Amino acid sequence: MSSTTITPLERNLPGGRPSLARKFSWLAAKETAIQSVLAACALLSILTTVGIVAVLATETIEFFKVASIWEFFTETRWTPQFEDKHFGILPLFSGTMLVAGIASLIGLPLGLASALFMSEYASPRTRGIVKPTLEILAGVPTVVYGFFALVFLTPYIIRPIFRGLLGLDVDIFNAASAGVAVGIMIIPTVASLSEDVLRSVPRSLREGAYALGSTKFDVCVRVVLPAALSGILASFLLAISRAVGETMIVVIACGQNPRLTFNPFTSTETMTAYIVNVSLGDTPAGTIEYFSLYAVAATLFVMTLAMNILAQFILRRYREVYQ
Amino acid sequence: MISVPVGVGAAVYLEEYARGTWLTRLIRLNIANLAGIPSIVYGILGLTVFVRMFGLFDSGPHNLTESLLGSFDDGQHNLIERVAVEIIRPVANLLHIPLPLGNTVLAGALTLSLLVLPVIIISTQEALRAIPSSLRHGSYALGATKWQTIRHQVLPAAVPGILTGVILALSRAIGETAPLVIIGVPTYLAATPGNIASLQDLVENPTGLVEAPFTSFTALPMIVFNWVRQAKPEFQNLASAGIVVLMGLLLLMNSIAIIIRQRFQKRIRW
Repeated sequence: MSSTTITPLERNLPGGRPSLARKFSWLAAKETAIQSVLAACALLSILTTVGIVAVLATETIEFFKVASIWEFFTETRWTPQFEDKHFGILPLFSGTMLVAGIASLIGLPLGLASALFMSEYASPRTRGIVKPTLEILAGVPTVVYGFFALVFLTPYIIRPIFRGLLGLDVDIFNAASAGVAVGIMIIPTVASLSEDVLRSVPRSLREGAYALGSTKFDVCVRVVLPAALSGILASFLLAISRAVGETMIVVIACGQNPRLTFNPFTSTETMTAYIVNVSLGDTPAGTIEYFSLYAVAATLFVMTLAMNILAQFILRRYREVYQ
Repeated sequence: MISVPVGVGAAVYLEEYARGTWLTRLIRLNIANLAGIPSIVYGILGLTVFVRMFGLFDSGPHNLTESLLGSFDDGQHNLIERVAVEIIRPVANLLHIPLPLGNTVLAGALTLSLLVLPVIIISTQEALRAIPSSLRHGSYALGATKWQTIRHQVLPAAVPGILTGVILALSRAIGETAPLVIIGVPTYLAATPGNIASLQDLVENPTGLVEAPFTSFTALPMIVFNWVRQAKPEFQNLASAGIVVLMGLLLLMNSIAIIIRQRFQKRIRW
């Protein structure tokens, strides 16, 4: 309804109509309060990251007040607990890379093959058996894998093959058994992520290839895999970052002897194993060993963060858009 | 108990309320990164924040806030230390809470809840996304507010997915050893937290339950880890027995999760 005169008492709406809204209602206040509470929950995740970065950064700065950065990255000995202290991260880093490398060699192809099998070749009944088995494998605690590596892999598989047949010298703690166990551990990660990606490739692509006369293998390897490549690469990166961060298996099966070596049959120490071993001993707070703990953890954090961010980036940028 | 409300709340906020600002994109990226961080880094975070509490409350030689913020002219305390010593410590003494938290159940629980928080958030987000918008639209059409819609329509429909995610996250938390090792959980303890030896104890002496979060504890993966590292073959047998118990528990939990998922998927008819 229109009115030619507007009194000051009427609310300011276009045309001078009065607003019917209440100025304050308990319901609206409750809604806003709940929204704030939920937003606070979401902000807690940022607080966690900030906390991790702040803690690692400050203690690492304390570490670098004593040891030099150049020594950290180039020295080939890591002996912070001995009298003669050297702080080169390279032995620990080579240990981590050795274990992660062996794990990738084993876990990535097997995981991808399982994913291909489940998405392309398996009948629904087989899939119904394999998929829960993989999920159970993913839920096994890593202590169990470490135990498996130490008690079964080294004496019954690695030693007979490499010492019995090839005559190489195999320590009781070696990077090979840890690597194999970590590889088995990352198979479910690669398989489930890759399978999701492979299933999202549209059927029209496959059927077009079949119509042109390809065999099933051709379709898998030449049509489906390239289409899903970005997702598969991202899943590889995530699995490698998981292998790098793996702790208990390497603590149990790999040894405590940091050594810059590429021989997987000797005992070495990885970054994660060093952190655990120092924590298990008694190191008073504020000493250089205590700070070396944080420095190694910061290096580990930066490595895994870089891999995760790269994986996200690949997933987002190169995702194929199907019409 | 700690991570489920916070995680579900965060996921609800991200799915239902958040606009596409840079802040929400940052939060999403953040959660995806947190999910990929090795558990040992959470252990170090827990060590510094919960167990040692930045070195604020003991008279030890190292104090994180001092190296971060410097000290006042009187040489001893900066602002955070002042707050801690003069405000927080008397309150905690009143409530009989030991500070710093040290080796308590609460410290371990807070560390592990931070660990599983990203997993819960991501799986709850997936569960919420799977609910079709028609449900929400119908509720709005009948005049419900946003929170009423969420509380009475969306969340009950998403409960199976959320429950599956929670059980999977729980089973991950049960099997984690690395954070517990770093925060210094002992490998052998003769008593349960709060000195609760049986259900009868609980009934006769309920203060044990209140004390329990602030007492020391140990965990099965930790014990198994200790046994595995011993050299004698009898310990290998013990370790195997411990592993069987642990795996049995985890298998049970995973089976419950799978059964819940399958039963509720049959019931829902969109």
